[in-house]
Amino acid sequence: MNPLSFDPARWRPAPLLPAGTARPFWLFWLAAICCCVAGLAGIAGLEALRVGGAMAPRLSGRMTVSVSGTGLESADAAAARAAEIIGQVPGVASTRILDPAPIDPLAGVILSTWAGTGRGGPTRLISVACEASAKPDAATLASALRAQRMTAQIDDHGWWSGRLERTAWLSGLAVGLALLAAMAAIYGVGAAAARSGLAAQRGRIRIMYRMGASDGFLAGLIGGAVTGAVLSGAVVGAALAGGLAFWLLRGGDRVGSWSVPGLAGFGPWALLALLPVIGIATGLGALAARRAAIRAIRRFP
Amino acid sequence: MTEAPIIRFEGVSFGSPDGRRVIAGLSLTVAPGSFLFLTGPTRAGKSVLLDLISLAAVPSRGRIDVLGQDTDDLDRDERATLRRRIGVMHQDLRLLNDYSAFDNVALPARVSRRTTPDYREQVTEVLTWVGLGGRMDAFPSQLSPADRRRLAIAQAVINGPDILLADEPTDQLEGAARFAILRLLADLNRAGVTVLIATRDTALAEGSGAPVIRLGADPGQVGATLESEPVEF
Repeated sequence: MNPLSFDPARWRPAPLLPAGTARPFWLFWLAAICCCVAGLAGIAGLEALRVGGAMAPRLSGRMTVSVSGTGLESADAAAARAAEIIGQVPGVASTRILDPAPIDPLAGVILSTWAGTGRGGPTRLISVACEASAKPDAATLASALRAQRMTAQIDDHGWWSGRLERTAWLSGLAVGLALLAAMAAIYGVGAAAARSGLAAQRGRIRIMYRMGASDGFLAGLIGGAVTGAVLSGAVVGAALAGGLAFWLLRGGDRVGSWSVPGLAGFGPWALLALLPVIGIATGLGALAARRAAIRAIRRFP
Repeated sequence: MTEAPIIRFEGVSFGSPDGRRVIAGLSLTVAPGSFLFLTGPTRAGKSVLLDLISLAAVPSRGRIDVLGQDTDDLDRDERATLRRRIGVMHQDLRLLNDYSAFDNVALPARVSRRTTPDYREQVTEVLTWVGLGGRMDAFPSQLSPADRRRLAIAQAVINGPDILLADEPTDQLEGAARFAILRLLADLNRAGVTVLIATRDTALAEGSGAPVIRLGADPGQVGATLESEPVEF
């Protein structure tokens, strides 16, 4: 061998662990899947809270009253009379008879079932806004109408508002649990990868240990390898989650011929939720790998 | 002996996993700068004794002081630090076959967290000293048995140890190659390193004029302080 072929000044240290140590192929994919699930859960949770938060104030303090015409009174006249009666109920701030044009096509399909007006004449809807401090309930309005010999169906939106808030909270809880499960899986995967890496390189690790490598140094080698793989998997998984969420939520806004104010407008800022997912997943993977490695190395005398 | 012992065993016992007592109640004291042989038949406990000194094994009973420190009192980081001051040349050499000679010698410096500029020149010097200056990029499999032993010595001394433990350093070597290895170890001893050589070759040990620790079927008490003058080969 030519002694001139090697120049110590240009020497670069070889990797302390062979390429691929503690980076089994499944580590990357499991990290990607877990982060995709966690990312989707995070975005779904944020969206649920956002939509719940946006819709609840629109619904609370509002009611919709449905009145139908009779043989003696047209629907428009009945609606005008009902609006006047309701407007005098204490706590009612304002009433507005909704324009029947956009509602009539839907009324036969949806509203008739709820209002029981499918068999009768045309229906008119009255939007009722209540004062937040002294909001009357549906029974009070019904009683006021009955006193004037009118019958109507009353939908208290406040009931929906409570349901919506509870559903949003439950959705948040469910996605939080999904997030926790995904992160627990990342922790388990990181520890398993570290143990498998240590088992594969036990001889090499022992050699370094006997040369004076500290537990922390050796655990850092294994932890570093695991961290790199988890980070790459997390980035890919989070990107996938971001793409899916963007497609689903933006696409969802355009579904149907009409949109509900407040549901529309998926906030792209929700994608920022993916950054902590990547950070937490990588941190957990690193922590798990380091702890598993330290536990195994401490069995050396 | 004027200086504190560099190695001290007090009633040290060690049992193998199969329950056999490999070392029983061994006491010995080694002065700094000594050159000693440790002899005995196979399975007499020579390698175990080296493992106990290099903190690669823990005694079942007794006290071991190395470099003035009671090894039982050390936490794991302190044991790692102490291990760096003890160079070990294993019987099976334990070189990394995917590493060049240069990388193998640099490895103990790297695991001691020394920076590359700090040890690069030293690796070159040590490899040149053991006679591998022209084979720095050779892999262990490309070296002769004698050169692999030279490489193992270079690796054991790169961190400037106070103690060098050599387990069968001349195994499978003949004639001049054997003495070349022993001369390297004697050179180190003259530089102040305490050298302890485990060997089955009792003729070699006794012919050297250096003190000999004999381990037999019944591991005996070696009560005396072992100290030597520099040895020539």
